[in-house]
Amino acid sequence: MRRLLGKILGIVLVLTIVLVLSVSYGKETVKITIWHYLNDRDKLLKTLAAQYYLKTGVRVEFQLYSGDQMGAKIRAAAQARTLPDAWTGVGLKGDLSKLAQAGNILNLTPYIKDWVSRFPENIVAQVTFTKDDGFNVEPGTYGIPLDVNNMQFLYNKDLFKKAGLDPNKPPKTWNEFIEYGKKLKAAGILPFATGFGTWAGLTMIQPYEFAYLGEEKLNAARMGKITFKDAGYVKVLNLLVEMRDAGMFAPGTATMDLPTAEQMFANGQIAMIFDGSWAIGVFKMMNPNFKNYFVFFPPKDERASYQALIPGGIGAYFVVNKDSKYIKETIEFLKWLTDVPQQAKYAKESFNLPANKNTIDPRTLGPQIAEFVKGMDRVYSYLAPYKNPRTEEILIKGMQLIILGQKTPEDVVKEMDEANK
Amino acid sequence: MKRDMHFMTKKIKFSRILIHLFLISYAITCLFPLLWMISTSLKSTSEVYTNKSLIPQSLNFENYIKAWTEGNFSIYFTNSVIYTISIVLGIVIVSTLAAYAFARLNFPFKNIIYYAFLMMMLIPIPGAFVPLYVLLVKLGIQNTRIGYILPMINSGLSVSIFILKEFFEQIPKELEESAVIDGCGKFQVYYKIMFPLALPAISTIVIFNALSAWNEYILAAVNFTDPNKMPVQQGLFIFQGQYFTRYELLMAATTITTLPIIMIYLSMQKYIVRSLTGAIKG
Repeated sequence: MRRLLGKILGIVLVLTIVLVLSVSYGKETVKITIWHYLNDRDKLLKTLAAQYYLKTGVRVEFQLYSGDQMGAKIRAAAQARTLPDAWTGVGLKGDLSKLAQAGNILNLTPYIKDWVSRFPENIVAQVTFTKDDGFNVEPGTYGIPLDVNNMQFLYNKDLFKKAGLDPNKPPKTWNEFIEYGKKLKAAGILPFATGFGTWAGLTMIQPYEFAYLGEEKLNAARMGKITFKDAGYVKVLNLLVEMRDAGMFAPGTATMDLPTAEQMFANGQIAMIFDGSWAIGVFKMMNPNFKNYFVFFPPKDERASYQALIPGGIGAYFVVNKDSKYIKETIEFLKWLTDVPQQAKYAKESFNLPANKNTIDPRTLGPQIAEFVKGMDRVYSYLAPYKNPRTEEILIKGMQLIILGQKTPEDVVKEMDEANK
Repeated sequence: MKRDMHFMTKKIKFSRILIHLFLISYAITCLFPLLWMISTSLKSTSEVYTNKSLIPQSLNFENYIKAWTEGNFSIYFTNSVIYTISIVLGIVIVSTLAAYAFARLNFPFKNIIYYAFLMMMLIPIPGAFVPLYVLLVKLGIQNTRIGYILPMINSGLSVSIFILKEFFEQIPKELEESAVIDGCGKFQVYYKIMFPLALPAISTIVIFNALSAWNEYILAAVNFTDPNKMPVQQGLFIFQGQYFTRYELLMAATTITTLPIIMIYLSMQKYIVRSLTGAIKG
């Protein structure tokens, strides 16, 4: 009897082993491939993918290509239908619409409707097509944001203290900003620099374009419907005159590029800079010991009638292959990746602002990133193109000449109006 | 008379000084980027932005070690050596044979085929990589080394055949005729007589094609999905972040990638000068 029982148990054991082995052999391992160009975040994304594998058993392989190569690689792979399961989008709606029209990317709306609210509406709008937007794409959301950015002022707390200013009270009004600049100058500290030699100078005056002109007038002037003079643009450029007269610009600011200004700020050579949220990572690379700085929203100008809005928007985002074998699994992974714990880790380690608006805890994000996150609500959503793109060049040169004292705001506005006719 | 001679000598001396001044300034213009690259590769991160001088404050040789390890150069460098040797070898073998045939043999549609080859010069690889990639996928050789090497050989053929055909046509036919009298067949004439005589032109082809194969990365990026098959150029962009470029490491990596090409050029410059000055005539 005992032998019979032993035999039965042995057979049951063997059968169980065979069954378990056959089930696990037959089970297909899910492997998702994602192409990306975020070379400074490659290791971090791979670490998160490894974490996801331990949690779910789904393998996610991030493959890194340079930003220059990605466009070409996607075009070729789209033709041959060998696109990966997902990839980081290159460009915004113009590029996205071509892929959507060709049926290469998935309309994500039905898949993300329950959790899309975790992203700010103005960010989702940047990867969403509507019925009458002229892109001729099936309405819906085609991208899942990974990070966002915006541009604000940053200041060095140690230099503020050295100039007798309260390091925890950055300027709130334009008058205070100018006064702070004068005090810094008097203490022998260079008050301010940013990349006026490049596009970065334009972004510094944008909050005040919105504040003085308002969204409607500003866009009308850019599109050539009204003149910049009539819109009151001289007042915007006068702010540069006020800064210049207060001696706020560091030598060379008129033609400076942003990395040079960033290096000066990270080295403690200037007290304030206007820069993007990404600068936090840049400062860390340039000078790992530089930590005592903070962020402030463009100071309110009492003379302006409208709210200041800052430049910013979506950073990196993912699109999903319409022909992917693993659509459900890919979207599940992206949902997990953009959930609060992963977004906090991503923001803390990569110094990029999380796309998930619920990721706001300064203890996990770090104080500077958390402060930048607060500004996401005041990012402008639309800026019309200039009627004549040369107007932008004239504005950049004009701002440089105002800083150098070689032109007046009236001269520059006149030239802008002539170009933008 | 003596006064005229003196004036002439002075004039010649003056024009020589002018020529030398021009050549020296041209050489400085060419060398400056190289010097800047080496100088930057030895600076620290913050010094790159603050010290505009060509002389670094301290010599950070560890940048080279970092560039090599962080850029995965042990993999990419080996791959590039394999690709460059295979591509150049393939181009030399095919183009010398084809150019010899175009220069010396008579066969139907010779000129049409030759001009068809030349027309390929008008189509650069970046302009053709989408259909090329589709073809590689259909042939099942996408993401393989051979799928990268074959199109690269193809892209170098037209210019190489053009240069070699012109060179072969300048070689006196009597040399071939003597070889035939001595009992050489057509292939023996090719590899015992024509190939050695064409060495100056071949070295030009080697250097130009080695340069383009070594520097190529777009086709590699399109073709490969396996990072372990990527060439050395892939290692360079690792130091170019979305918002911040680590110039000291990028320049150290660029110096590393430039060295093999400089070595090839230096070892072959004698032949290149001979080929450009047309050494074999009459």
